[in-house]
Amino acid sequence: MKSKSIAFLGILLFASVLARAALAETRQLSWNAVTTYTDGTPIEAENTVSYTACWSNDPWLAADTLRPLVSSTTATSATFDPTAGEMVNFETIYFTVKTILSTGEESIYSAALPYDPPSAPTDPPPAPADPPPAPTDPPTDPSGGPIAPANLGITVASNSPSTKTWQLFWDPVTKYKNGATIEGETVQYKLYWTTDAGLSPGSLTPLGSSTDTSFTFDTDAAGMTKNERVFFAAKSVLGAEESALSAALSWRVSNKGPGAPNNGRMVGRTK
Amino acid sequence: MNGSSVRLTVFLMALIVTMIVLPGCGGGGEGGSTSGKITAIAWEPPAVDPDGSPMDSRRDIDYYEFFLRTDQDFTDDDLPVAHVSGFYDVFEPDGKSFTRKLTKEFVLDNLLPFTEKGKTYYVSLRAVGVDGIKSGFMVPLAWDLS
Repeated sequence: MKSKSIAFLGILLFASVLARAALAETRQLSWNAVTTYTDGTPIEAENTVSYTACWSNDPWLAADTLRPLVSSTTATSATFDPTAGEMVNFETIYFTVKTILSTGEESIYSAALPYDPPSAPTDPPPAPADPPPAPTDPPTDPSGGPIAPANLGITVASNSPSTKTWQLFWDPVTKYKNGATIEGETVQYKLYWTTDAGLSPGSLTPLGSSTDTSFTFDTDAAGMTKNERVFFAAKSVLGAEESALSAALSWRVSNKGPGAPNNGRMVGRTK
Repeated sequence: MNGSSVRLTVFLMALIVTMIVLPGCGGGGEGGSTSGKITAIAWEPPAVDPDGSPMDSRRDIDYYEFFLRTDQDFTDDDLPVAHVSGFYDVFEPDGKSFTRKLTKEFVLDNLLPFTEKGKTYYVSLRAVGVDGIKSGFMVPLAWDLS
């Protein structure tokens, strides 16, 4: 059936699509024009092809995380300013595009194209008339702040009196966003949780902060409901500089673990 | 070990085991492999937790553990012989964009180093959640290496 097979074939996102456009802070996302159904049949001339491009912080491209970049455009590219919207809140985002025909038929979303937005805009530089910093002043931030924490994980807290006490952990942040090593400074980590898969800034509830790479919390004290789907994220902080949000860690509050895999069977495969 | 590290580790483990085992697969059909054919175990990721509450396989499963025994009496004391990530990424020809897929199959030839030729083994697996909580065992499947 054509409605299930249109357009995905031709909607690959190029590696080269994120080139700088004419404006300093804009980028361009482009994709191949879709001219056929996936079975190779040409799309009828009277059937207008349009595209909707979205971005997400979720590599699975879960529907509840998709945010529109451009809707129902007949162009095969979209220009955007990564510093103007919420993209800068994330360390990595993912683009995807789907095709829509004038008949209403839609393709599935294309594969995810990862992209690291630039750092959030920082304070403007001092006016030229300002005196230069004294030699003993700490160096100005060379890179827009620390990178975001990575590999956020969760486990039941050791020595926990109940399963309501859990521990978040993550890799230590040792680099600035430009790759320089952080030296002589202590990185602080801010933890957040939300029920919004899109991690919209307004939905983030502070969970706590730590200078260690783990943080123990109680689900009741945090206001979480058992079996509720929540998302954790973290930021690293150095002085006045904050990183983007880490990738989200999805968790069902105090769940009892997965059910067993099922429908097991032996299958033959050719080498 | 956090989720991503585990995924990376188990992926590397599987990759290394595959690299070690596959060059020897032509060894007279050892371990049940016949020329050009390999055996895999397939399964469906759990969709509910032990209470029957719906779960999201994409978000809740970190990896799978594989177990081998010569009987079907799997217990919590058994140690896994392999780990495999709960998902993998299929890259497009551009090498940049990808589609994330759930792992639903594993080539048993990777477990041959843990077996003896001529025996029948039972294979089972457990799902491990992102918070480290493990599922029960999948119903064991017989794997005849005679």
